[in-house]
Amino acid sequence: MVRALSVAVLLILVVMPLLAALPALFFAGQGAGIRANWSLWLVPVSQTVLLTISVTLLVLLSGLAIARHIGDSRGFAVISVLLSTPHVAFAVGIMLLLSPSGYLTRLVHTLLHTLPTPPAGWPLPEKSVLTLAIVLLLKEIPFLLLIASTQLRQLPYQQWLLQAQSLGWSARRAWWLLVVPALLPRLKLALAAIVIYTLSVVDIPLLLGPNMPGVLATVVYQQHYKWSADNQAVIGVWWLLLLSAVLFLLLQGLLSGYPPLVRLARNHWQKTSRWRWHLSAGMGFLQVGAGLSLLVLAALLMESFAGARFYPALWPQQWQASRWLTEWPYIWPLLLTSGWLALISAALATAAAIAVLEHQRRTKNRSMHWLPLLMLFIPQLVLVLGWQKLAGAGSSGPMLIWSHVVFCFPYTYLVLHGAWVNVSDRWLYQAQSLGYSYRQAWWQVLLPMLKHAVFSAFAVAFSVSIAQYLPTLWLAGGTLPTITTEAVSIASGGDWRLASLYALMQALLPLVMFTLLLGRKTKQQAIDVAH
Amino acid sequence: MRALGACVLLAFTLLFAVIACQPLSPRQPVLFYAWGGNPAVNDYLRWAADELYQQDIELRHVKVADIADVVKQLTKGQSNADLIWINGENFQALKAAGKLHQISGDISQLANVNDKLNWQTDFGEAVEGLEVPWGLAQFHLLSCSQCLQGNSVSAVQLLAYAAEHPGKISYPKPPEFHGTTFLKALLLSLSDTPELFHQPVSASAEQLTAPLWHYLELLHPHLWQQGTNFPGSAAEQLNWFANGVLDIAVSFNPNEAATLVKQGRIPAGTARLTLGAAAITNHHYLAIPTSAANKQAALRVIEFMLSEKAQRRKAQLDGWGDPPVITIPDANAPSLLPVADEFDASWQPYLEHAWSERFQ
Amino acid sequence: MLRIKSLRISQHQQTSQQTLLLALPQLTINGGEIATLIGPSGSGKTTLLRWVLGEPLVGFEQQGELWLNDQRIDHYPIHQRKIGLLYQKGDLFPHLSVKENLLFALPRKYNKQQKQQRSEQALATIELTSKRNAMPHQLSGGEQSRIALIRSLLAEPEALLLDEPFSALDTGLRASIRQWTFAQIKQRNIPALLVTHDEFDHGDGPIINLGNQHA
Repeated sequence: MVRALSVAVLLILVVMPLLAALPALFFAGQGAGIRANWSLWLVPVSQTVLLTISVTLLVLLSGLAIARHIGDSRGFAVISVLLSTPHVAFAVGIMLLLSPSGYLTRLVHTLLHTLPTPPAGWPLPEKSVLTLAIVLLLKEIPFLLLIASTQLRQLPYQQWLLQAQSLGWSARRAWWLLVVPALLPRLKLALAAIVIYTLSVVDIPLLLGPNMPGVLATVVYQQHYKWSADNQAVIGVWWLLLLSAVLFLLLQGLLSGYPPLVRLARNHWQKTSRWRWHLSAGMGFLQVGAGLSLLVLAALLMESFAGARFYPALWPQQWQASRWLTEWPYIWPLLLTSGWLALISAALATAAAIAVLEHQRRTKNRSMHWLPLLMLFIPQLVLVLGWQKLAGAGSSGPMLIWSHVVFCFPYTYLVLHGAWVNVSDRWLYQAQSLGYSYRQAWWQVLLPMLKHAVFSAFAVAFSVSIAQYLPTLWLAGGTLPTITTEAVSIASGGDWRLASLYALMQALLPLVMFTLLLGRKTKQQAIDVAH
Repeated sequence: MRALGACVLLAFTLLFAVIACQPLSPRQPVLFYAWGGNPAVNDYLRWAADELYQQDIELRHVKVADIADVVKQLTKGQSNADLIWINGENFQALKAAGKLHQISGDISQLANVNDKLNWQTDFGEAVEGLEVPWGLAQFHLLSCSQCLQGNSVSAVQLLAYAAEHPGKISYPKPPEFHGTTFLKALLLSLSDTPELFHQPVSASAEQLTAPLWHYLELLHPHLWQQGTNFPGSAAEQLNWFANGVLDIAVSFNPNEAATLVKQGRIPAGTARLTLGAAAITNHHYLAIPTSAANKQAALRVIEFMLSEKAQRRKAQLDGWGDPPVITIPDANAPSLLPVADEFDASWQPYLEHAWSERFQ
Repeated sequence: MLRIKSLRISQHQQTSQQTLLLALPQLTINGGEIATLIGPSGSGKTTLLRWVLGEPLVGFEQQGELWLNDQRIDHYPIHQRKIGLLYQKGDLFPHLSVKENLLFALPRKYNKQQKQQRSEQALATIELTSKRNAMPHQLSGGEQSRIALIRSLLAEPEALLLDEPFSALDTGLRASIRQWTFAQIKQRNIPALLVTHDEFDHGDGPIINLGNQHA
């Protein structure tokens, strides 16, 4: 029965959506006669390739450096705040802090009086690849950390570190030479998801990235909305797919190239570094990340209360708290809708992941499959357009929920995979020997044992659902506005005072969910369920 | 902590149940898809919805980040829009696809529209009764009070200013419509034969636009980030202008210098100037798609929007400040800028294409 | 009384052949007796135990009869066999406290009060009442073994299987725990089957050496 369930889930949540959207992929262009304009694509493509490679590598390195220190609930709190802040809100918050007219320069001017007008080009220039890379980095590290932490639970890495240290290796070297080679293969698909995200994200580059020309995704997006006959969007989409394939191969090469490097290092490196690093880089990142996430939220909060706040004033010259009062009657129905939609989608997505993973567990299939993750690898624009053609534009609640579940499912699978497939059958046999049937044992022993992982998956799916923009807008028309659809359209007007308010509200729900589910120090944190 | 969470969840459930159990509105809502980025517009539409509620119509403002999204859905997919706020290229696309109702015959208020307004062409494209004017737009610059002096600045003066203050001038990147209109305004200022731009693009286009490209090549090195990047939208440029990163901003709303200061978005003392001798003037419109489910109610919404009460409210300087299209006997109405007519429709794609070929 | 008759377990090879893993024509364990299975690793000790418990053996061909107290049970699922299981690591459920582990094991026929009473009594007999709210990872090896055993016994099994239950304990502790375990089994008068490779772990019942079993 589990097998049937697993197959059904994969059909409904992966195969059907793909088939439904396929026609759109081939008809996305405008009629015949599209002359490929190579000059249009050269710069964006090369820029994007460099961006993606560097961001992914940096995410990997920083993530691995930080992963050594997570496992305690403090680290998780940081991760959850960073994960639940919506993308645009986060990007805006960073700009409010670090753009040439942001808080940092205003602070400098207030203290030193050297910057009467905003400087050109520092700290983070307004439209640049550097800024884009940094914001993407900050947004993606928490995701990798989440996956890494669930995968790490399945490795007895603390014992390995202890043993290595007893052999004279420093903890840091032992981490990179012993634990990381075992962890890397398990992160392969998460890294692939990061590559795809960096390649195809649109809203952050539109805000922060260069536009002469922009990165590949921005160019595709802009081409998509051109009405003239030389709309090259189709070519752009094929470029995206081509680049994804190429970068996957590169990623594969990188991951298989690491073990030989490690072997070399093991043979030739000293066991401890000659320099004593008093502060571990990983811990440093964590503190910075924590501080930054709080500052972002604080900046958004301040902005939402601001009336006029022109450079170089540090505090608003006028306050406008009335904004909160006037907007609240319109906001709370949105929160309600978003909340319910997210609860249902997250529950279904988690159940779906459990079905697929349980089947994998029973057949002792420990690897991470690419099929459940397929939806992560296809641009959302294409998929949703295809579905809309089929379904129509009326208020279709079930259709909307289905689309949300389709997009949340890969995340629940990713997060839940590490813990679930490694649960040993012995617990079930033990419970059965105590007189519980298999089904009873499954519900009363296995599921509670995996509570933490299930909650993590649910919380992540919840945030993903809250953040969905295109599906909600296009599939439910104007009949089910969520806090996100409102927030994005308000943000397009550039009035960050109002946009901050909506962004904070948008971040509120996932934050509450994360805190509720994962904030308590559970009794389970030392559990090792995989004998 | 757990108990608190459970209580919150319970509260949500009850609220949802209460809402879900309310009797379905006897009114079918009119889904009005309009840009949601301007809080003043959003507030105006909330006022309008309250007013229309008394006429038994439920107006629902569906906020979109870019109306081109909706146009795309209308032409290639499906949409449930009953009423949309469009102009320019978006209108042209819908007109070409035949997705708009003929509504001019059904709107009695059209008789009150100011005759002097050239609303029968939309960015150069003939309206043919497929859309109804809602407000007026005049392209101009906003500038800090010490920066550019006077009521207007010519292209040459702008270049001189840019040379003296490098890195302080920029414009939204075409094909964003503010950016394209900036190019048009420059053309009008630089050209000896401005009336030729009311004709469609022909073989003489190269020669006619040559002064513009020459000018831009001189201008770009003095621009913000030396012209290697541009603001993505007028709104973005407005933010940078407000914080002193740039010395000018662009706008289509002739009263924005006043309204935005009131909203606290730009510093007090911001002046408005036309680029060139006159401001390129066009309109923005309301239209009803052929797939609208609630056409009758949408027509009544349009009637209301063109009523004196609504147009007056729209023009108020403590709100949106969008000039009215109907004739309102009011001596206190803020003056419009001197009017320059729009180019022919074919110039828009031509200029966009030429600009991106040369500079991108 | 636990009785095994004509047991043959063969392993499926890749070449669609079968090699005989173990053959046990007859084994009878009386109540209170502890039979010991010894043999080198790979001789099938654990497989035999798994067969008695009722685990699905994938990749094995099995035939034989299993009788418990004159009832044939080899076709019953695990939870109906009333056979208890004790592993090397104790296997207390890590997400439940000691008390919750014990309550989980008690048969459903007792009401809440009776369950509380019995679990408290059980803890008292091993003098670990203070640990009732502790989590398993907070206990020492010896404590885990003892609690695991009384948990198995609280379920009121009619037979008990022990899979190297003492090998994780240090020698001093091992002797005392082993003695105590055997005493408990004798007291309950249930047959037990012990798998071990430690020569001192022998029970007083039949000893089956699987070392010279290969066909």
